[in-house]
Amino acid sequence: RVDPNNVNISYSNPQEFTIADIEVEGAEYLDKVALISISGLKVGDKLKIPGDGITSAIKKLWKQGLIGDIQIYASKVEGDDVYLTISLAERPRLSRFQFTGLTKSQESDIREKVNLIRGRVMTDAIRKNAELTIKKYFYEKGYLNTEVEIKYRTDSTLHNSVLLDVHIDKNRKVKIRNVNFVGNEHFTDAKLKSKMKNSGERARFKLISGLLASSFNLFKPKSERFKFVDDSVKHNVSKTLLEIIHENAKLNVFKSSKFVKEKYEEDKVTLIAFYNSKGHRDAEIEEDTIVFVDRKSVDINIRVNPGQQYYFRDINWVGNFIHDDRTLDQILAIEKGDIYNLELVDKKLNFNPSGPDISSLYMDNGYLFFSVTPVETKIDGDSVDVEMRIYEGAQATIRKVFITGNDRTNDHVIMRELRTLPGQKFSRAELIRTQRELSQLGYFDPEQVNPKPLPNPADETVDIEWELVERPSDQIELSGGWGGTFGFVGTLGLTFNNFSLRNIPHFDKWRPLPVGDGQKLSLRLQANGKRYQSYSVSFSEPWLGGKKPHSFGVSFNYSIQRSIDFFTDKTIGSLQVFGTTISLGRRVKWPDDYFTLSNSISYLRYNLFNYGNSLGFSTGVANNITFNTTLARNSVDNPMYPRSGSSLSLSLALTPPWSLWNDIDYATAENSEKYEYVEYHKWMFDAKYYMQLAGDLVLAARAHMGFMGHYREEVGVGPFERFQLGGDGLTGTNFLLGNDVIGLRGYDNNSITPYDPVTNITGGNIYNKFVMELRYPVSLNPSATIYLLAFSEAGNNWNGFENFNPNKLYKSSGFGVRIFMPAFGLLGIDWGYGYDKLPGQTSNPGGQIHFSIGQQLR
Amino acid sequence: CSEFKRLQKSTDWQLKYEAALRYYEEEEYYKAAVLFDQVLPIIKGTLDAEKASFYRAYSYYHQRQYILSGSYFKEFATIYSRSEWAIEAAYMSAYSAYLQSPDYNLDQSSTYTAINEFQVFINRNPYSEYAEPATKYIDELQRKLEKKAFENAKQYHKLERWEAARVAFETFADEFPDSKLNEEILYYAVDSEFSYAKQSIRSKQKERFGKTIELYEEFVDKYPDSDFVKKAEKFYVESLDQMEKLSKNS
Repeated sequence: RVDPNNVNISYSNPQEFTIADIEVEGAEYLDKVALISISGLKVGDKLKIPGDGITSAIKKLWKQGLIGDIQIYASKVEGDDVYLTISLAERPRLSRFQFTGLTKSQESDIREKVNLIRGRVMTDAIRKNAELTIKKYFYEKGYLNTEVEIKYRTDSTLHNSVLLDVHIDKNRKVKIRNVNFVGNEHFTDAKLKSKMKNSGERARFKLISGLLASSFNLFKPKSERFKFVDDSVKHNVSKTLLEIIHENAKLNVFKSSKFVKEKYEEDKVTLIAFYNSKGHRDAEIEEDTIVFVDRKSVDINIRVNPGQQYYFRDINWVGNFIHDDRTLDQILAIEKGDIYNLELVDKKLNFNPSGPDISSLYMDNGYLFFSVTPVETKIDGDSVDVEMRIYEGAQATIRKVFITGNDRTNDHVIMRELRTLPGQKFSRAELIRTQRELSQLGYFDPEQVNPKPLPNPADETVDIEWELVERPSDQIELSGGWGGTFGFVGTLGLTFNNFSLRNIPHFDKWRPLPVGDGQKLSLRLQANGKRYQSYSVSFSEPWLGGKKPHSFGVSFNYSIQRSIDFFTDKTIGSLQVFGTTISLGRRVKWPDDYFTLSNSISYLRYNLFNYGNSLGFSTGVANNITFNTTLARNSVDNPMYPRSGSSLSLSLALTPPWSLWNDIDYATAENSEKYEYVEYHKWMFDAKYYMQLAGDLVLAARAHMGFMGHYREEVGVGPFERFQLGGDGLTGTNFLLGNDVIGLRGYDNNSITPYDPVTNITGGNIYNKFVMELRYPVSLNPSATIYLLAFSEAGNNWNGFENFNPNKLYKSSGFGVRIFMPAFGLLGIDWGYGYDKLPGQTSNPGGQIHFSIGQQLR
Repeated sequence: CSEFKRLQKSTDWQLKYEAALRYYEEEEYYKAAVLFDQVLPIIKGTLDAEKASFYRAYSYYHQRQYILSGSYFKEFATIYSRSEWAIEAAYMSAYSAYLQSPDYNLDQSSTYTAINEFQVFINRNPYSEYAEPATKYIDELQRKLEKKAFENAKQYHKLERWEAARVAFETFADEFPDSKLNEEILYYAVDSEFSYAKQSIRSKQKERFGKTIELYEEFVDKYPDSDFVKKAEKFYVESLDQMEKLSKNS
């Protein structure tokens, strides 16, 4: 603020003036009146000088991003009147910018990152920032030689504007060729390299040249051995064969070999952490150099000084009043004389994924404010004394529990699942358990279920906020395909996983359908004209009455399959199936509270008219009433991409023993008479187990077994609900009614199905199936979860115990991909290779492609 | 090629601006908003910009895009604090948040935003014609938050998580001391504590029946004419009986 009239304006003595006039100078393209209006200054207003009125005016003008430089000064002062002048320097605005030398996806990434806003004034700082942002973006991807050129061009279509041409030449990616260590006397170089997770060496295979070189190198002087070298094959003086292989062959599958400075710095830290974990508490990197070999590769040379190896001596606990030293010692499980390892101590103190830790001892019992700090009190030779300083704090009671982020799902649907209750002591274990269970609901993004404890130390309470992010949970299935003998079959399926029955009459609450009460409604239609039609509706409510987690479900389905004479268009045979099921389920606390028990009654009615022979009779009616009970345990951590946990399910279906009271002589009766009321008992067992191997690589193991038995020898099992094994396991596209279809990849659909020529019945009554799957995720984004899998599986299907042989299984291997999109559910494609010859076939089935829709149970 | 498409592609901002105003008058708010969005970065710093950004906010408001209209009104009110529309914009910003506020059983972040904005508005413009409706809306939103807290506390009661229910009812009374629902709340607190005491192990019963009695006494002192008194009295009487038995046996 310049003061030409020498008015005495000082910061120690602010004076109040009245604005008499405001002038704007230097505005060529901008509107003066508008500028004054933006500044918030007005003729006639009182203004303190110096004061915040002027500052805020400058700020407001500056925020517009239109002006290169702003000054406000008093041009004249008359008594209490001040004449202000806003002096500004205009700069050209940025009207457009374009990138060259980028791919489409890089361009969209960069457009998001660079803060170039059209219509703003261009300054050199903005240009420089853009350049740095672009370079940083490519450096992170390993393009260390990226060149960015930004040119201004006057925009002829708009006054006072410039265009930016941004040219990017990212050049070649820089990869790491060799990582060399000096001073590493305790471990193999390969071990150290394996710790550097982000700076792997480039994949290479030059074993032969390496061996040759090393044999020549035998003649070189020994002094070259421990010098930093720029070529790996030079110093293979007296190395074992294994070392030579390590050095010259590198299969780099999971590790990135591109050179990124930040990642490399992280790796140096992990390297030191590795040394520390082995008792080398003084380990340091004395020197490291990065040598550019050429424009596309670097060598990294690291000189480490591991220092001495230390051991634990005395561990003392201080500040513990609630738990005694012995209890704490037992959990810590570190003995005098163990290799000194602070990382291990930290794990045992704060979070131990594979066992108890000190924090959970306190935190699960309300001690939210608990903290423990290990302090090295004395170092004597190679022994370290450690003091564990504990702050126990007060026991926090939960006061309030609330939910945020639920813009579709109603509070009560979430509240009833929470295990963190007001009045209870804060417990970390309950927090983790609830987090898992909310993820399982399927309404929220499982990766973003976030419990936030908000402690109020004043009254020793804690509020818990559950931060959730909704995701679409409805699914639509719209498909058409060629189905066996039927020709084109169209399918329309709708599943609403978070339906609200009571909101149906309230249109204003539809978003865009009645949602939010956690009920599930699904509808499915499948048809190809007259030959095949299937309709089903099901509804379930997980908390019947809202008081206890008793689930209730009801479903109806109707299917018909007709054979039609091609010439006369008349129905010559048909099978109609009508079914209804009512089920009730509950959670049980025994054997542990991960169990659920559900019971259902279903009624199925089969109406056959001149319908082939696969069911043992061709015309008649069969009724199948079953009572079904299932005991299941589920502790899977994430429904979409499980990494740990298991699920077990044992179910039993029973029909009434009709043969006890109906007067049928089963020895002589016709099949149609025998099967009017179907009787059997059916046992199914399914087990799944998930294990995290490394990172997100997961091993999924499954075992499935099923058995159907009869009540009386002469009645037998009957033709219904038997097992059909092989293929993709999709009931929907097999169009086989009255059977239990189970997949086995690598074999044709239902090809492993025994046929009994005596009773004329197709289908097995005992089956076994075992699956091992390795899974690796490509994307865990909730809008599209994608993972790859490789599998090996084996199974067989037998008719009768006399044929049962668990050692004879049909085996197959293959790979595939699963894609989960919230709107379509889970879609999958697999390629499987069947190894074994089926009876009656001349060769093994070889490669097969299978499609799958939805989560398959078996 | 429709007129709107042609205008969208035109480089003549003057033409676009006038067309946008015309669309706004004709209540074609979608088209108006698209054109205002295009024209605003260019006319920034001119007199037209003030009008355009005010009208843009209203264009989104009429399209029921309250998130956008709210933020544009807010932006207008801060940038053009001297404008004749500044007060209206400040009010409309809060009102947009009010319209976004969903049913009580969903996330209430926009309710809190609306209450804050209305409150700031009233503090700054206490004599504005909008001050009265703003007060009314704050009241309405407060009632909604009350209802949410009440229903959530009642759900613990329904789920028979008695201790949680009693704590939640007490927290409610702390947070909404002037609520009309407090009468019912206190009754439910008595009920919850009584049920909790009844299913407790013997060693804890004395303390919890005692707490029931304490809560009942508070209830009758505050609401002697309540319709719930009769029902609550039963809990009181039985708690007294139980206390007597417990002290006899010990």
